[in-house]
Amino acid sequence: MGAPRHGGTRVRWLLGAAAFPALFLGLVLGMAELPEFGDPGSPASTHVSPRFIEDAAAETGAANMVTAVLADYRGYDTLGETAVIFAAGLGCLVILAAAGGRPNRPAAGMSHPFGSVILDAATRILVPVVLLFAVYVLIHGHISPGGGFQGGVLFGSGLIMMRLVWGPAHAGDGQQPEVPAFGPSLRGSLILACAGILGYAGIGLAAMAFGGEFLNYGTLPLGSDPAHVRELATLGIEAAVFLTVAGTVGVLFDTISIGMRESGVPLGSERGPRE
Amino acid sequence: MAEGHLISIGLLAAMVVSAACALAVKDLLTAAALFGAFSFLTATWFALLGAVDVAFTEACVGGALTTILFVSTAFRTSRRFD
Repeated sequence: MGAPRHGGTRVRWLLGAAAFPALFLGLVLGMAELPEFGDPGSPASTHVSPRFIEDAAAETGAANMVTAVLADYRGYDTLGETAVIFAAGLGCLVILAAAGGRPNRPAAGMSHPFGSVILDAATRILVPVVLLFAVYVLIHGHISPGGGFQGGVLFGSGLIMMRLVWGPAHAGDGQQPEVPAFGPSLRGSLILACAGILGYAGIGLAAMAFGGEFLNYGTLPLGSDPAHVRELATLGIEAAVFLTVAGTVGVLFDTISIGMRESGVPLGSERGPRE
Repeated sequence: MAEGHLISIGLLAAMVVSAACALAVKDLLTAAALFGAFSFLTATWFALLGAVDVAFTEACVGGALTTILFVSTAFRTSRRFD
């Protein structure tokens, strides 16, 4: 921000000043055309929603319709989304590892811990609760808001929190690789993410092997009640999403910390190393 | 309904302010914190609209995860943007 300093900045400011009102006006005009919030006569409320509201619980055994739609009716879309998240993690790995990190080495998270007694005590109390809550969110996604995605992010965030505070257990001496303080290594995170996405596709292919369409779980031989079978398969799908997301979160954090560390910038430029 | 509108307007105004501040500040750590605040306000607004699943995701991803990633990245750069 601040006053324009040279020609390029001035042109960008003018472009921005011209684009902002135009975009704003377009958005406001577009919003005026939308149906009223919660309008029972809108196309979405008359055409699509009643089908899910009336049949989702009986067909899929999931009281939370969002889970039923995401993991069952639109399972193919969710497979694509999970693949996008996986690809984002891979992209980060390839770009940042190429910038200086060595992905074959176990990641140490941060090169130096943030550590203080208070932070250490707080994370020791907080992180187990976060990790347990993540699993609860995954399992309870059938009934209450939540599911594999949110649970995976929570689980990954809990592991990251621990790494931020503890840092590596062994700094490494050139011969011995650094040992991560908490949670899986970069390789481990990557394996988790791969296992998740393969598990998702595997459940879809298993449904095909038993005579259904791809991701049509009703044909899986898990019981006689089709709604119960779908419920179990949905839990499998959610667990696969959980693994992918938790693994990808770990890969993102580790590649950011290794890539930056290997390029020679120490953690916290204002502060020296702690040892 | 009027109360709901007031809360919505307050949340949206706070979102605009936090987004503008996140762009304006020079300190990357402050910007990351402001962006986290923006995400949290967004999540609250989603919850107000009844989209609890989306609000949950926004709170997890925007409020927690991206903030952590931004902060850990900010710690490894010069921390100030001029």
